[in-house]
Amino acid sequence: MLRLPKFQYLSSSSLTEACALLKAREGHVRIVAGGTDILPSLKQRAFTTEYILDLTKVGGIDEIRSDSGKEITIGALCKLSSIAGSAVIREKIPALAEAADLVAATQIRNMGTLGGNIALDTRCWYFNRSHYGDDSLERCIKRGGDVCHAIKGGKKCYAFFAADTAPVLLALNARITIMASEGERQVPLKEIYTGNGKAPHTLKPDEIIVSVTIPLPGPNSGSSYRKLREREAIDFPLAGVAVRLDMAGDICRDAAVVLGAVGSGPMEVQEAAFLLRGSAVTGEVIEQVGKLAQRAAHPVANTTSTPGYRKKLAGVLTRRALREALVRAAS
Amino acid sequence: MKKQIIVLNVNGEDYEVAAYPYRTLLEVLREDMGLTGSKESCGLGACGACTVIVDGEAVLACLTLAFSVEGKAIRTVEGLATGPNLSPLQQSFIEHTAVQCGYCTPGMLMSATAALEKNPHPGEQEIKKAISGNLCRCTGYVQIIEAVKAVS
Repeated sequence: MLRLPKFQYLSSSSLTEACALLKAREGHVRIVAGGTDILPSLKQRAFTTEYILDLTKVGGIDEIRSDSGKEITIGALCKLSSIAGSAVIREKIPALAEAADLVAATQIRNMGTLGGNIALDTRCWYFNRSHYGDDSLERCIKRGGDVCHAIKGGKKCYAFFAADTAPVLLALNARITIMASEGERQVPLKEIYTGNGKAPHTLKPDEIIVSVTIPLPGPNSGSSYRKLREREAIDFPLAGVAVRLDMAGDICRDAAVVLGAVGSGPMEVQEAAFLLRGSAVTGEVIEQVGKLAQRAAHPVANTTSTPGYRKKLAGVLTRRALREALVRAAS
Repeated sequence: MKKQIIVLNVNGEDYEVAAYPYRTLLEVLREDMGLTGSKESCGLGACGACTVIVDGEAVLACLTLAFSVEGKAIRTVEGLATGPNLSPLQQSFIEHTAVQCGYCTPGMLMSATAALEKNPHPGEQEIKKAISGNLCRCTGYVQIIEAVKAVS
């Protein structure tokens, strides 16, 4: 039986109390919600923890609210399966429902939360390995050592960004609400990502994600998310692309192309947005944008497939997502 | 560290169990409650062999902390049969040769049962999606899908 390391258990039904507990035991406590990311890492002894704070008892942060008509707010504890099945999300921001539905497999979507997917740890097969790996190959940078096995001689961590919902949320200009002991703050979601494989988020030790707010796209907007993975279920992305197009007739008014899994953070391809803004989205423009996305992708050899194929598919998926977003914007 | 007494509702009955906080539901089911129907295969969430139903949803017992499911309705493969009578799905698995080594079977049954309780008449795609988190190394899945189809 693959066992968890020993820890003590804390829980609270109040978000404020939960933050206080995190502050009081800073450095010795980790939060668990769905458990589908942290428990495997604990079992593999990527890290250990003295305390686990169970967030699942905290009330009020698992709902989908769309009462303002201008934006949708999704609680951090909302299950991915709830997002995938939500009628309002499927109608107004279908790319998010699709991305949530593409995460892992049914059981994991029934356990995993939006907050957990947003704050998902970066991955690399030298990090996400059995604890027996320590007997054969020294611990890597992300595991607290000082070598990188993915890039020989590498001095930083190249673990890749593995979340499916984040690229879509970023393409849709989502904002994130975070609670800390000092109080609540709301920032654009992109501000929490560092692009650093070892420390992928700027969330402080006493911070808990409360919710994500997505401005409702206009009637001439379309979005799409495409995921490359080996099998049709279970696997993390090898490349992921989220696209949003805001059209005015045949001309693109605004656009976003965000790549996942081909770098240590989600990557907004600014050059693609520049090219699309003010252009008619012709076949030629789609080709160009695909090339820009491919150029921006920087996968390394730290998971299955090959970096070359994943880089190429970032371009292919971008073209497919663009075509789908265009069709959706028109309808 | 002391164990704590928790009350788990499993297959309709409340059980008092003394457990450490770092025990998963799978460990408690198998090792403290003798309910060895749920299996461990990967322990990491990638195979589905430990699938149980909690409050109507198929979830992975190996990634569920026992302390976090107090007060929830937990169902395991042991709860599918009524006395000596197998559930229609279990019977269908036998009739369709959907069981070879049997190791994936409890997880498959729980994933399929949860899906059929949500939608009693799924199409083939929906059945495949429902069991897409359950790996089988023996059957090639065809017989399992046929078995589920036959009761839907």
